[in-house]
Amino acid sequence: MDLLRFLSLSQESRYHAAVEIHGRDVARFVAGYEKDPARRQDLLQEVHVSLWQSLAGFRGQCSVRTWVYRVAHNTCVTHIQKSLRSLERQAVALDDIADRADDAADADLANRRLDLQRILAVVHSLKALDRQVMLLYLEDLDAAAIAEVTGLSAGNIATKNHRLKSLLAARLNNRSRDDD
Amino acid sequence: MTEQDLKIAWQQQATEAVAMSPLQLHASAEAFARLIRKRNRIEYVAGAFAIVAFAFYFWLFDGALLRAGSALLILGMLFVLHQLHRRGASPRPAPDDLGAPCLAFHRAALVRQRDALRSAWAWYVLPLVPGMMIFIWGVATELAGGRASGRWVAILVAAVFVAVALLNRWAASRLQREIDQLE
Repeated sequence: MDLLRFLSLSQESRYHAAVEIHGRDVARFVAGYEKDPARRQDLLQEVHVSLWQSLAGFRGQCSVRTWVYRVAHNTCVTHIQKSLRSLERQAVALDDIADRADDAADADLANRRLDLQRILAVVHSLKALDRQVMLLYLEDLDAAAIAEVTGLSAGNIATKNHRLKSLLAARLNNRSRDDD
Repeated sequence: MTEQDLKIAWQQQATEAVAMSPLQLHASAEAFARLIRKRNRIEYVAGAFAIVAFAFYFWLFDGALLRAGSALLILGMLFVLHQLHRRGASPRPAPDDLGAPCLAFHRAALVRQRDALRSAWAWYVLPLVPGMMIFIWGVATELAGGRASGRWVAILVAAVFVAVALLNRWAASRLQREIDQLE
């Protein structure tokens, strides 16, 4: 749907159109912010309400996708801010995580077979902005699109993406070695 | 699994794109507004209860310190309640702000928290300190017949308030470091 047509819709119709196109992405983002299934459901509902309310003020400042992603991430960060604050001591920046020993994560995930779960565990341990970049990267957004959603500079995104690639490669290689 | 395989696996997770009905959306937004109203009501009721209690002490006691302390505490409570009403910000950001780029949104949230930590003690704690000190001093000297050393008790209370203020400043400076580290 093009932007002009989207802007001509009512608030309710905008919300339904946005959820139809990006609802699944939003659900995945929420999973990246909340491990607990019950709280995840509450958070998802909160994101939907935020999206519905925010779309009344959407004037085409950016693409609908960018708007939806921003609202989802900003709501998630706000929702978990208290637990995030208390966990901030444990949360690590992307710069540091690659150097950190993987032993604890390996032990914790010993019985898990899916790489996805391993990566999700890494996502949950990242600081807010790095977590956003990683989730958008997993959605296969290019650096320019990630920069538009996050507001980070293209140079910074390129650096973070480079570290993400190395991190993912290292984690997946570890997993392959474990299987052997 | 390659990096591209991982992205595909991520995007193909079993998730549902279920939209909420208008009724559910309105009900959920209203439930949150009710929660905020309830939180505010609890603070006002607690403040009103304390005002009534110290008004009773003002009427009950003859001692100058106890009466002065009660009066100052009532004035302090009224000031704090007025500030709560005036500031009464919702913990949820305005819907329009949610569409801001994540970095700007994150920075604004940290700045808000830092400013709250820097100023809250001044309007939430400090207005109660003089009344509390004088009242405790009065309890120790006028009610206990001068046996207790009220001055020292009052100084101890003041020291606790100072410690709270310092802790807030320390937490605010931690937030400032986080803000500085943002791009």
